[in-house]
Amino acid sequence: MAAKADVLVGLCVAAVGVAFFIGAETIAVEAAAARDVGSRFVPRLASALIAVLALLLVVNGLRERARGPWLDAGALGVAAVRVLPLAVAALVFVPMVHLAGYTVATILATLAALLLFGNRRWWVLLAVPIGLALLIDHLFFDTMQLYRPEGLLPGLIAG
Amino acid sequence: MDIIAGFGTLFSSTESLLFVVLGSVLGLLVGAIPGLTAAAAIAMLMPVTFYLEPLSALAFIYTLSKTASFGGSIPAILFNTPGTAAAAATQIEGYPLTRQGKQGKALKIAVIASAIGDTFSELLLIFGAVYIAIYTARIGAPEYFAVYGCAFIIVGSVIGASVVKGLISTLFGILVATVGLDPITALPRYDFGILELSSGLNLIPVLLGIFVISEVLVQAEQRVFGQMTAVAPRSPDPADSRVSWPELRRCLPTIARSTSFGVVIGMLPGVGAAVACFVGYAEAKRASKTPEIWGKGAIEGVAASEAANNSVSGANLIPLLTLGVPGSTAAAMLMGVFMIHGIHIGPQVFITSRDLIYGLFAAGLVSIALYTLIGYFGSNLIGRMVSFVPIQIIYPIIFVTAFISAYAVNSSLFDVLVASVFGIIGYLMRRFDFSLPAFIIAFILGGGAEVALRRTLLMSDAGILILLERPIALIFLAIGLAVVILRLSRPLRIGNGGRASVS
Repeated sequence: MAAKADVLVGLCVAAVGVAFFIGAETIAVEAAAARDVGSRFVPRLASALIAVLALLLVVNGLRERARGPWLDAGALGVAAVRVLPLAVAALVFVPMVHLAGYTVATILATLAALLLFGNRRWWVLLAVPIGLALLIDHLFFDTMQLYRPEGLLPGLIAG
Repeated sequence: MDIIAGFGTLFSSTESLLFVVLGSVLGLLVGAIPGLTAAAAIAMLMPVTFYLEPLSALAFIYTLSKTASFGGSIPAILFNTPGTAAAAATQIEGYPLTRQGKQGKALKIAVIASAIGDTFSELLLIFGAVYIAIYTARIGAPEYFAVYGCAFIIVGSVIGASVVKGLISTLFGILVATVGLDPITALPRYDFGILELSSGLNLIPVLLGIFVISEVLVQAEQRVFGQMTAVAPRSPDPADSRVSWPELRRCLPTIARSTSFGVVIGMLPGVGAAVACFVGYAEAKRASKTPEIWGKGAIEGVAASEAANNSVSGANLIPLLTLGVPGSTAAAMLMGVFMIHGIHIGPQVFITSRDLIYGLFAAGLVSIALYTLIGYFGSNLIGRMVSFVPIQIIYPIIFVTAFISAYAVNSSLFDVLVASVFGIIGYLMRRFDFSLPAFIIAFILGGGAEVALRRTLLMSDAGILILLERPIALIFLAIGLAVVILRLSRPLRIGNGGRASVS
């Protein structure tokens, strides 16, 4: 039995397919593209098929009179409280590295993740981020000799 | 015998042996921790393999994925919580045995069945793959396209609750694989003027996002920690803690049947151990003369699902090594390790990297021996250790470690951003029942499939109909079609979150 949410998901996926199909038009075509099998061929084919299948998902949902709510408010609330902050933390990690350096960004990201996973003991919130940052620093930057991104702030503070 | 030379290669390298042991032990632990998948662990550890010899790197990843499959049975039996999706059927009979105080018996039959299934599968790989490779080395672009097409159809339609969503996942993987330079004309595609996108998306950041970061997001949402605390008391009767010879003899036909199912399923791209364990279990139950005891603690049920899911492991490598098509997520990651070390995978690998390949097979056999020993004598202890793992601390650590693993690939913060974005995409895909394995396998194979398709279309005036003139291509397309028909006639649901059922 199809769910009502599938109808919405189908519409979103169809939009992604259409966007990629339109985007394929911007791909340069080589002068001698034989039988239309040039650089645009697979992107167009895949995106068109995605859009068609997504519409099938929508039609299937409507035809079967899909059950359940359009949007599960409870699940959305849980996702907004527990997942969204973590997703934001993942996305701001790189800007944070540019700003404060890898070690500080690691400490802050670990702290945020620990809090979002419900950890409240102070010694866990203190020891785990600092311990993990030091371990990463030693293993990846000292031992494996990776380039350590320092960030803008430490430089500014140091004058 | 090449395999003896393989043992020679493996045992001549202390580093490789060390990583076989490390991979085996780590795999057992990873498999035994519910929610922590082998795919996530492998994705995080892949950057480490840059710094290892090729054999050590491959053996590490291969043994980790192999033992994780068995490790998943430990919490399934002890706590009614499968460590991996592949152990979901084991809990049906395993946990009732634990409740009767017979957890020792259940764990021992699980390890025996796993070892038998896995060894048979590994031997088939060792002695059979090379003969298939001799044949596949001769096939051309149309046949390769048929192989890729067959793989896409199977991964798209078999995994997941919905065929349509599975196919969308596959096509999305193919589409994402087109980002970067066209493999034939070298013209840029979907790079949006971003320099880092012009060479395409790196495999490891995408893997980390799809399997690790999305897993952390799902765990943050579900917050199902601390459910493995109640361990049933063990029966005082020593007979309940061991498998007697009559019991083993009773299980042997079941193990043999499940192994054959597992091997066949393992050779099909994308189907995997989660399906095998349910097929093995369901067939053993159907064939049983005493079906009334099933569901109440039948040791044949534990043996059936464990033999089936572990016999997938070796067979999974057959399509990878003979055709360059990974049979599972773990095989796809192993393919990534081959690529990292500049080894072109396909039938020619048996000539160009013979020592390495047979060294890897030897590592597989050593790993089976290791997990049999550890599992037979230490499963109970591992289970009790795992029950104390502070999951709510482990996931934040995994979350941040995924960033440094992505960064370590090229010392590029752009890769970290890619991992984050694909983490969110992966979460949404899981949330709405799209298939992550189908996406990742299509992403890996997309480039090769595109080249094969375009070459095929350019080869003949008949266009795609040239496939009808090629018998081998037709065989592969027929396999794909048969699997789809079977899938539609027998509804099968495998959730990304690890819950699976056969109706």
